[in-house]
Amino acid sequence: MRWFIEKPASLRITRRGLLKVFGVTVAALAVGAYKVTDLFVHRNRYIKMRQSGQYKDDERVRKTYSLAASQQNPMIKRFYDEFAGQPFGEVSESLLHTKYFRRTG
Amino acid sequence: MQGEIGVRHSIDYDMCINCGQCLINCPFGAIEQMSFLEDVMEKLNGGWTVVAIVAPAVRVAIAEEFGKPPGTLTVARLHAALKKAGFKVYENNFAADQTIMEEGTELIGRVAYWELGLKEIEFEITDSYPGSWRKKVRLELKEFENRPLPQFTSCCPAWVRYAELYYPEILPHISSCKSPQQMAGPTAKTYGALKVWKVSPEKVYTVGVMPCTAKIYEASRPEFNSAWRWLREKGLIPESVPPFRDVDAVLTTRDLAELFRRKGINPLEFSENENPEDFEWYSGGGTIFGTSGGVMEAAMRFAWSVLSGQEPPATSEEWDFVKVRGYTYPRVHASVTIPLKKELRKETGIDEVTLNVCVVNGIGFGGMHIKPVIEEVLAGTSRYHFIEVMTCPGGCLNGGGQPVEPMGTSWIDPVLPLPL
Repeated sequence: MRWFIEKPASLRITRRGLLKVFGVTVAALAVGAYKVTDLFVHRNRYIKMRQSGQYKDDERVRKTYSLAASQQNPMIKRFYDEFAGQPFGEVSESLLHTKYFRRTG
Repeated sequence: MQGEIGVRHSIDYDMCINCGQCLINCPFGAIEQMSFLEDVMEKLNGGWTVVAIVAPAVRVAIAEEFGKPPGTLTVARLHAALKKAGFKVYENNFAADQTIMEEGTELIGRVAYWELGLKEIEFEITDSYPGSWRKKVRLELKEFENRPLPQFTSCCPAWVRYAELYYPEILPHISSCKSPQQMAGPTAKTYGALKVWKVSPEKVYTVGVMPCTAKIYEASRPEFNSAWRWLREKGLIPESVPPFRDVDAVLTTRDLAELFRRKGINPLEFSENENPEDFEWYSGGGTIFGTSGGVMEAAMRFAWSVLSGQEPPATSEEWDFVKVRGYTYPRVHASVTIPLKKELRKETGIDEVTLNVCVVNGIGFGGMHIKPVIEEVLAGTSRYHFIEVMTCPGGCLNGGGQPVEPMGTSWIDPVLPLPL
């Protein structure tokens, strides 16, 4: 009759070998985990990039056309002179203002 | 949105504010929007004056769809590409300027009535460059009885829906001004059609090009057919014309990129030089609407200049209200002191006004960033005069209609070896 006899663990892997494997695993995990934090830190970078794009446009418009504030826009002047009269005027009330509605209890 | 891990999730559409944050942040890209792409393509084939209302946040993101990094500014190139596709360009930034004229005036009215106790106020909006432009504004303040302080912005349709659904008591505080998109629509179909392009209003088809999914919902709100109502009232269109919408269709940034691809147009191939005309004009204040704090800064530029009478050169730093800009903080607070000009000092009897302002940069998960602000207002302890609310963190430029960024919060994507 043949019996299965388990080999002692020391014959399968040495103590040093085990430490090696563990060391490499921990190192791999640590680097990976660091990479994950990286993803969190940089995840919203694109918001800042797009925001800086907007302020670049602000700068561009002010530099090229000298338009910093809304009332300086030549088309705004035309719109109120030719059509709407004044802010909160009759035309504005009909076309540019609205009401809101309660949608729950 | 509800659902357990690993099980198909569901959205309660009755309580959804349509902001689209779930769409751009879904790690699996499982959520889709409805699209007007086919309708717009058909209308471009002829017979219609198709007007593209281009939002400020589109110009800093659409280049991403064509291989450029986020924040790449595309203005003249985008206009040229739109014209090539058959659109007329109506800058939503111009509509943002309209919004500021109306909303800034409203803010002055509310402060004059509630803080200064005036019965009426008269002031001049002036600009001395290049010619001299003056616009006298006279407000009867009696109707401001129903417009308490603080004033909330109304540009963000997801925020308006949030308020209507969850905090209806706050509605009188929200500015009665429509959002820029909804100002652009009726203006294009009245002033634009009759005086600028000289076409018949019912043949104008307005298309909002928006970074936002809530704008699709906003355009469909039943009350937004004001151009049709106004034109009929004035007898400018025949009685037989059936009702038409202020804004007929809305394309998101992604949709517009798809439209360009189908037409074989790459906006990046055009030149970045142009001479703006008609509705293509916009101010710096108009363009920063797309970022959190932008509406506030634009309103401050308006109010400060109108009330103090100062008009420094456009490049001057005096126009910068850096402290109201929203970057990474969920809420930004600031106080802006404005010295009054001589005529107003005489009229009101005070030397200066201080405006306390707050910018809510993303309403937060379940509204956690906006709730304390609203509770304070409802309790009557709020110290603010003006509160800007952007539902999406960072503002419109991070809206639900923008290109989905792999470097965004859907961070699982870059970790996977193969795309899902």
